[in-house]
Amino acid sequence: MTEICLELKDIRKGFSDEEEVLKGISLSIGKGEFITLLGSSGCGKTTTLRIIAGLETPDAGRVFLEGKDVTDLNPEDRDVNTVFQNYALFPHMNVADNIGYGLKLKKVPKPEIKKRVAEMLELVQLPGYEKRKPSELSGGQKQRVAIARALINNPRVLLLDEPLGALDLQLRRAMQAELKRLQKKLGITFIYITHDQEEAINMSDRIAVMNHGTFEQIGTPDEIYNHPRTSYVATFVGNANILKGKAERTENGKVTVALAGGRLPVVCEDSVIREGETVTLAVRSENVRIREECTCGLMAKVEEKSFAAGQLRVVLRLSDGSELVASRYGIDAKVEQGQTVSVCFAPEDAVFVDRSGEEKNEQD
Amino acid sequence: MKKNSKLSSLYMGIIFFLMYMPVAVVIIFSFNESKLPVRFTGFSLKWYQELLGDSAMIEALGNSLILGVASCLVSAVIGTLGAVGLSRIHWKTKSALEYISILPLMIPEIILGMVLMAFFYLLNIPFGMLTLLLGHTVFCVPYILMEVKARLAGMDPSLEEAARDLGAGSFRAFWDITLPLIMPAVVSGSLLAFAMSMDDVVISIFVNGPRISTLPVKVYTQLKTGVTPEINALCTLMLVFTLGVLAVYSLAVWLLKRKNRLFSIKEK
Repeated sequence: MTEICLELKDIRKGFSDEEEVLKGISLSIGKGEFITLLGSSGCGKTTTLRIIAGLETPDAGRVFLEGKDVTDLNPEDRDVNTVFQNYALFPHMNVADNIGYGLKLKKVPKPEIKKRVAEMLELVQLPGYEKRKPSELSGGQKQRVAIARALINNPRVLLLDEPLGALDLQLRRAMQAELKRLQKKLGITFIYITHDQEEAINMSDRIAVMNHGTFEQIGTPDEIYNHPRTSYVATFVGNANILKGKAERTENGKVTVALAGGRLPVVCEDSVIREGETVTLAVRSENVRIREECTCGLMAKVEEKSFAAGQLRVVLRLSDGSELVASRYGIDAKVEQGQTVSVCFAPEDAVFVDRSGEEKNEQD
Repeated sequence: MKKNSKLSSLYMGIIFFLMYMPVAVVIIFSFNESKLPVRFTGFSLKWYQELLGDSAMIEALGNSLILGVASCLVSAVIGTLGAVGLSRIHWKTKSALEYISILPLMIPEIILGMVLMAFFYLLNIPFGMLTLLLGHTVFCVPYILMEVKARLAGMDPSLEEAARDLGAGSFRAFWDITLPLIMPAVVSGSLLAFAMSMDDVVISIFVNGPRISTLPVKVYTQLKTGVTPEINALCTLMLVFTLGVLAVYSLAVWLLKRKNRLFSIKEK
């Protein structure tokens, strides 16, 4: 990794009597990196962001910004700016005063503030909007103003808390591209929070998947999507099926796994699997194949068939009662509800997850 | 439905008549020539003239105005700070604290008056403007506190955090962001408090001491020696003044609303 910009060391945080929200997380973020904290609501991602911003004090652990310990600094003394979830534009100030607020606090002369605000508005593609009030802006425009207001201060790190959450799908896609463009252009480190795995995969250099106050996996979108380490990551990011089985035979990098209703070979890349070991497999639904005649795979019963977003989704029930979802493009009339079919997947399409002994929380 | 609506307008008419009739009578008789408030003998402004010449009455009015403005200002500061403070704590005792802070509104005035008098006497504070100011502040604070508290509850806490994030210290963030946004509540609470201070009799009587008198106290004590049409004139003037304040306030609120829809604090 290049130069480290921000470093979290064993951060812990709990609120009153509840369970700890953050259970000792550590993370190093490189300069100019676009990193996404991905997780469902309540996983601690917003708390992490607030601790970096200084709006929350950790119970334990340190925060380093460019090597300097900033854990005890007030938010106003950190070279970090935030784009809030609901934008938090000051309703009593116009767009120019909102954007220029940070510079005004730094006592930058007025003409220069005016010039830089105009430049910022140009950058976020809202030229000439200086005199508008936040209440006169659309959601997307407010978003741009909030980004401009943070970026004008030239922060070391920009924190974005689900900034696109309130926008409709089309606008969200456009803003994703624009944020990425801004980040490339300015070279500022972005820490982005979302619960939308698509957004995370589209935009990030690295993704940190959070669950119950810990990092499940930190890695590139490719690593997270194709090589999930835990069943949580596999289901959250890839909508994968989780299958429990037993490793029977290992040879030539392939492991034969006994699953409910049959045996299937699985490619084993790096993990060392011992024979007889209980294993967990993650298989994404689009990789599950259904065959009517052949008996080579797992025997399953078709429980439900539905069609949505151009995909046929078939819910199958395995002999041990567990559920398996298969999806594919186009309508397949051959599969009928109640029918018993054979299900299989290619050896390279299954991934071993939840391997104990492997490091779960840290990488790099 | 039609029949009902006729009945209800009749009902409403009766209620309004009963409520505002006495006020109308007072206004009419303030312009009466005769001293006896029984028969209207002719239009005259002489009671207003007499009122303006009544130096004791004018002095009492002056006292009331000074007291109203002063207690209003002091309470605005205390009430606003209190509301902001309450909005920031998350103790278990928070609701009890909130209750305690508006208690002066619920304690009977007569008790509050007696207690204050006894307290000032104990502390040896000379009765006068200072004790009046302290006494009025006690019951003015809750009005402002409640108004500001309600407004703060509707305010997005991330606004002040955003200011901190952009480099403002905690005081600066309050001054630049929170205060302008809660200002309408501070103003309306203060006007309410001012009105309450202006017409308070009970507490004032207990704490005003022998040398100083406020307008309501003056009116009240004069009633004991008999009503003169001068009182009518005074009431009319006070009514006009009160309605004037109300009108200015409504106009200000309306203008603000129109200008930037400031009253919808939550940006969504």
